[in-house]
Amino acid sequence: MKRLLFTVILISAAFFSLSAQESEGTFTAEDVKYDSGGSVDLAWNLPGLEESQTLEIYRVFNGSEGKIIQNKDLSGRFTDRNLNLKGSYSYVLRVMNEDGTVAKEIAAGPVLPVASWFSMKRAIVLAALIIIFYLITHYIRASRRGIEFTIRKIPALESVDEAIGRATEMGKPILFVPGIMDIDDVQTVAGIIILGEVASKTAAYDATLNVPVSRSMVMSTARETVKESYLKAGRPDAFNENMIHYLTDDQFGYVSGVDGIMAREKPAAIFMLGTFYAESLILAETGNSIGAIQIAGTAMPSQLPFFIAACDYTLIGEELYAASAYLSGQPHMLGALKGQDMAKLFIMTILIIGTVLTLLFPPVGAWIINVFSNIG
Amino acid sequence: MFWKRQFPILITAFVAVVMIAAYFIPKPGIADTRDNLQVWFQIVVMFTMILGLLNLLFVSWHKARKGRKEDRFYNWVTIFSLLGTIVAGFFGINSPAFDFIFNNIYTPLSATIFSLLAFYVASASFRAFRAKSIMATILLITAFIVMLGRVPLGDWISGWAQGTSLGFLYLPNITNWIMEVMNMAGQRAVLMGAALGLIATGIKIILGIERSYLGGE
Amino acid sequence: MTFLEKLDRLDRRIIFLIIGIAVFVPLLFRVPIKVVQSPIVQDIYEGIQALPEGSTIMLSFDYDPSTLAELQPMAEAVVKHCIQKKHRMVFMGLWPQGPKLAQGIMDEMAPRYNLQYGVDYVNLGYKTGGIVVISSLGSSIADPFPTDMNGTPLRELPIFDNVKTLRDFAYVVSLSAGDPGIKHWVMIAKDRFKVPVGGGVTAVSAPAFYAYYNSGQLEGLMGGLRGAAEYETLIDTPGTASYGMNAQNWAHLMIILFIIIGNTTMLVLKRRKEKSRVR
Repeated sequence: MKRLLFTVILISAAFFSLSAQESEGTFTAEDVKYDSGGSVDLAWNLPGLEESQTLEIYRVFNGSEGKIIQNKDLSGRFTDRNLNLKGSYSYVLRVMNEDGTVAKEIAAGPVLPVASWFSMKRAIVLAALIIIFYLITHYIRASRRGIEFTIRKIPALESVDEAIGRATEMGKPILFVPGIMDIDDVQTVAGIIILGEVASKTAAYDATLNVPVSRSMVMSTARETVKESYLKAGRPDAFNENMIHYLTDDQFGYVSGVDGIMAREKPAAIFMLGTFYAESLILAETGNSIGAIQIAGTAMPSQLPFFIAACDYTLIGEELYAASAYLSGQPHMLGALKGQDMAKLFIMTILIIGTVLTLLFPPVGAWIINVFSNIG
Repeated sequence: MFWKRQFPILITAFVAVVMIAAYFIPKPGIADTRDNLQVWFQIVVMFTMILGLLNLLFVSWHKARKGRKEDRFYNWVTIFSLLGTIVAGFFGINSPAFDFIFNNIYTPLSATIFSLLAFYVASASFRAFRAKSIMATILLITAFIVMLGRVPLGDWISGWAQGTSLGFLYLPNITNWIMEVMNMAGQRAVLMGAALGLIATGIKIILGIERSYLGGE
Repeated sequence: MTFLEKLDRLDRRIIFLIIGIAVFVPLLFRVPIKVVQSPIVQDIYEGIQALPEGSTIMLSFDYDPSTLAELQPMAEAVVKHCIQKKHRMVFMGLWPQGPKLAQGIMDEMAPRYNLQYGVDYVNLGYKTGGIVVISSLGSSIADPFPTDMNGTPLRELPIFDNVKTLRDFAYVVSLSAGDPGIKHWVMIAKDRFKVPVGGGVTAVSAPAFYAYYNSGQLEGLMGGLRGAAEYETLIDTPGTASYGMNAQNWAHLMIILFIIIGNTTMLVLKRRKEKSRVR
């Protein structure tokens, strides 16, 4: 009988104890994944809070604690950041009564915030990059093995010779505007590459080249490129480093300067290849007003309509990047271009598959969208 | 030759690897290296501004003295404006002199040049928006709709349709649809193509295949 | 040359003159026009409206005086909205002239609405670096900006008592004319630090940002003078943009007329040519 009573009491105590744990609520602390360390995710869920009670969360490190949260939220999430001290962090959630006494206390941790070696959120970007890299290098290797690749006619690039020839016949200068951004912009690099080809032709035809630039580093790079082109064309004597001159970094100051050059010197051919913003139409219209043949190219979608409306020929988006391969005709450049096209085909295929999956199987679509949204 | 060719390519490859790695590896050391490289670039750019400044002064001085007679005046204006602004700047960017230049010369001039766009849009539209083909006609009609939809005139013309079963004829609605659906699709396509071209050019530069920016082959 | 041929090749100076008159005359009469709001502008208004009173907002002035005509009205409208909601404002600029333009607005608004510098608003000034600056703000505001524009340490400014990093801001508004600008705020502030980002850009750049709005990366966007006018209508305070819509109305009408004239003359001349060939 005594044994039975004892057993009943024990079971009852265990039952009430469990119930008490369930009714206490939950409080967790976890290291934030795929970050540079120093962050801990906290999450809490309490069954209830009296009106006079408040919730406080403390961070505990090396025996000392500091309050980090004080509110009345029954549930919530918080990321504790900038945890720069080496070691584990613990957290304590306390439900405080009005009189300052502790009604409830839940501990979480210790958690060691660590920096990840690799951000898995971005794995898909790495995969895409590897595929694109492989495609481009594969076709470069193929071109070096002797496989020939053809490129469709790009009217803007076909007309470069015509434009330079026209300027030479008229005895007027050629104006080249490499955009308004600095050399760290790939469009500017693409523009400078085309400048090299244009300079080879102006050297050969003995035409005057004028390259006003908006950035000092672009000036230095463009000078090297043009100098090399004139050397290769056998005309080092015709090169004058003041062909490439700096105007100003200021966007509309630069536009004013270039417009002034157009109005005064009346170039017969104008090349505008690089990054442009709002000044694109001002440049193009001024060039149109002096009757020059204009070849423009940019990858800025918002400026393309202005160039198309006002210029004779326009390189649209990636045609600007293809120009170096087109003009040089070198096999490995054409191979890289072929690889770029295959990469585009790969992306188009993924887009179509993703769209079809999203339409037919919404949960799959939601998962795909989630994967790309979390790249962050 | 190594210092003019291979060394710059090695620097390019190293910096590219660090920048790409920093995107995938969240470790603080690599992120700090990336940030430092970006700051170093800014510092180099600041110093090269001196090059540009000296070049501008030299070219303007040369043209002011020996250039075409009708153009010399503009070069003197350039020289005096440049030097005057530098001197004013030495008194502080909040000094009366610099404030005067900023508020009464630079601001109105910048705004004026930007406002030229309004006139140039009109002349470009007059010249370019001609119904010479079916696509050109579609472009023309779209331009009409967007231009009307973006001003109160569109609301006055088609306000009767708003809230009715013919709401699709309400010009601002059509304009918003054109901008948010058709225009966005085209912009995305150009952006994606340009992004691929950018990646390919970047890979060619990193691998040293594209070397023209260093000064040709 | 016949009249029609002259009309077909109308001297651009005549076009400029007519556009000039069409824009200038309405501005003389200063009649404000209320415009219908588009969802993209409404969203940014509602985003700021929904914030609890007294929230701290980051306003980044990423433009220069050349785009003043389009972006300053929307800057003023957003500032007025923040003042209406008693939000605290922190100004900064990724472009050198931006903070001075912000200062110009506050020099007028602060005395009018009794705003106290350091408590209701602060101007951090300009910092070079673009995306690097925004990334640094994510760790600590004091990293790129140890002091404000006037050299006062941030710890002495009460507005920063509870605002230590970019994450502590309730909203970021970037008024952007190019690069660096709103795109970088979206890339870092929204994508990395999950702070809502809205903004304003020039009308020419606006189409490029619809993709960001559609994907939810951008909370809302004001495009050009029209966007500013919509915002002024939403806050029920007509300003420069609302007055400017009249001029824009007439300018668009003139452009449409020119296009009609150009196409009419082209068609008539084409028909005449074909008729004379048939003969």
